[in-house]
Amino acid sequence: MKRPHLFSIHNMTVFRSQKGERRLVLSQASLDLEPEELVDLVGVSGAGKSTLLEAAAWLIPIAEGIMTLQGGNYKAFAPQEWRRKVAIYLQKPVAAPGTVRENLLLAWKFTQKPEQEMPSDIRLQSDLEEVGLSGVSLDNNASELSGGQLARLALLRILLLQPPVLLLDEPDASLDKDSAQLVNKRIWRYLKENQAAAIRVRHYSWGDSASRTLLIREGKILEG
Amino acid sequence: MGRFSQPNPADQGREDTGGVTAKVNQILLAKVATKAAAKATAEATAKVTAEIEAVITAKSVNQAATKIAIRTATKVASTGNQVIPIGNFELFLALLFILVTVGIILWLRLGLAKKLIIATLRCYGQLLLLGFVLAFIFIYDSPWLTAGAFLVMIGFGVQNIISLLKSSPYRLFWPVLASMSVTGIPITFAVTMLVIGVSPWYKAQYVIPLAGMVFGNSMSGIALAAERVFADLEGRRDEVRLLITLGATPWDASLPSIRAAVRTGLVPTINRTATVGVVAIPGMMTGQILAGANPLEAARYQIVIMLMLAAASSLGAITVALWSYKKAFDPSGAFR
Repeated sequence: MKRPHLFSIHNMTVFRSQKGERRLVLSQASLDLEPEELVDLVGVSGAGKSTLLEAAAWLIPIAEGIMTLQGGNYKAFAPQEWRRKVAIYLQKPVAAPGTVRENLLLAWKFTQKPEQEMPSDIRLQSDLEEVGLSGVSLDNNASELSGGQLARLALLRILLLQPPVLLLDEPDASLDKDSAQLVNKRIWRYLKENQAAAIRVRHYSWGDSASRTLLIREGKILEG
Repeated sequence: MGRFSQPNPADQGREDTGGVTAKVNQILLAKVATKAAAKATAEATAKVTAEIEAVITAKSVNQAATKIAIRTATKVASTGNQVIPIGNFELFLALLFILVTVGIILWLRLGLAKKLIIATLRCYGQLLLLGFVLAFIFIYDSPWLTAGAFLVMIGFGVQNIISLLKSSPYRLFWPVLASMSVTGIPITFAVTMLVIGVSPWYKAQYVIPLAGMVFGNSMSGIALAAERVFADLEGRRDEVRLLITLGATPWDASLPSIRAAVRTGLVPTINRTATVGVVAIPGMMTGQILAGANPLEAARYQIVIMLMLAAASSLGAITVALWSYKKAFDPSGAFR
């Protein structure tokens, strides 16, 4: 019997409403992801890159098509559970009110706690060090972090949920070259250790490190 | 337990007794008035009024003197247990202050004169109409009429809140209607049936004015909270979206906004409850005192009313915040 894809989007159509007008943003988009795969999704602004990620994270209504995770239809999951398994890194990293520790452990404050045990301070501190945030204390106020620091904190925050699929919306947009390399390395280590996969949105392909590149144009996915 | 002062049936529809002849003069009228004042009872006033009416009918006395006598008699007698009636002339006299204000508004070119005049006319029209309607409802005193009055009050309240919230992209009719109803109706009847002990339970004279106050207050609590919960969620848009991506339910993501909304709805109520009677005598207590009630008795009523109104606006704010926050999320729990 054929093994199901780790993650699959099939013929997905999504509309967006703006000022009462319904606009087609994704048209029958399909893609499959396998474990340890990092797929770059490139395209011009407005091509539908971020929309695809938001739809994959079940943050916007999907008009047509299906998504599966390890063979299971997304509708069989509770939306909250799906969002922790197909975790999105938002283009604009945000700090919730509170310390760095509180920000990293946000999900453990919710009504439905993550399946994983709450990570210890030692684990959190070592995570911060790995992405070049050794100078940041867990007790620092998260709102005092710079854009680049916040971007790395936001990435660590979703990695702690150990999702099988990562949806990364320009994760290196606000990072300098060295930090971007550290983040890249961290993502790859994560994918390998957890048999996970990721879609990474970029404006254009840098030709570095992605397993393959897909082009999105006018809401349609084309092979790069 | 005290009661609102009730109209004395003896005041109404007195026929000419015929006991006073057309020869009664000004001195006699004054004497009659003084007599009534001395007794200072509602019954005495009624008799005096009837006698004076007879005099007026006889048309043989000085009209001005008669007017003065009536007013004196009624005023003195009212220190017993009556309301000083406001005649048509006095009703229009009150307009003078508004005319002065209109003059100032025109002089300062505030552009509000037309609005103030319309508001004043509406005040006259609405309150007099309300008086007629209430008089009608009180006479028939049926549970159906009381229920109808409730429907009208809730309907106008909901419509008022919705018009205040018209900039909101969400449809809030049902949450607002539900919040008005589930807080206003039980609180009104808790007070009329358990605290005041009104009998029968639907007695319009008690139930309708109290319900009006309850709905009015819950309306302000609901409007404030409903506006705030969405404004706060919108202000926290990025944070709310982040929480949702991490597996938060709409409840988890909205809790700070729900708290802010309930706080907004509650603060004016807490302030009003804490300062009541310090700066001004509250409206209902003023009304009761003017109607001749013992101030201590009026204070007891006012305490019940204040607590009832505090409960109405607080519970209204809480209910609408809890009932409506989900409107900001789609069925999958994603922030719209």
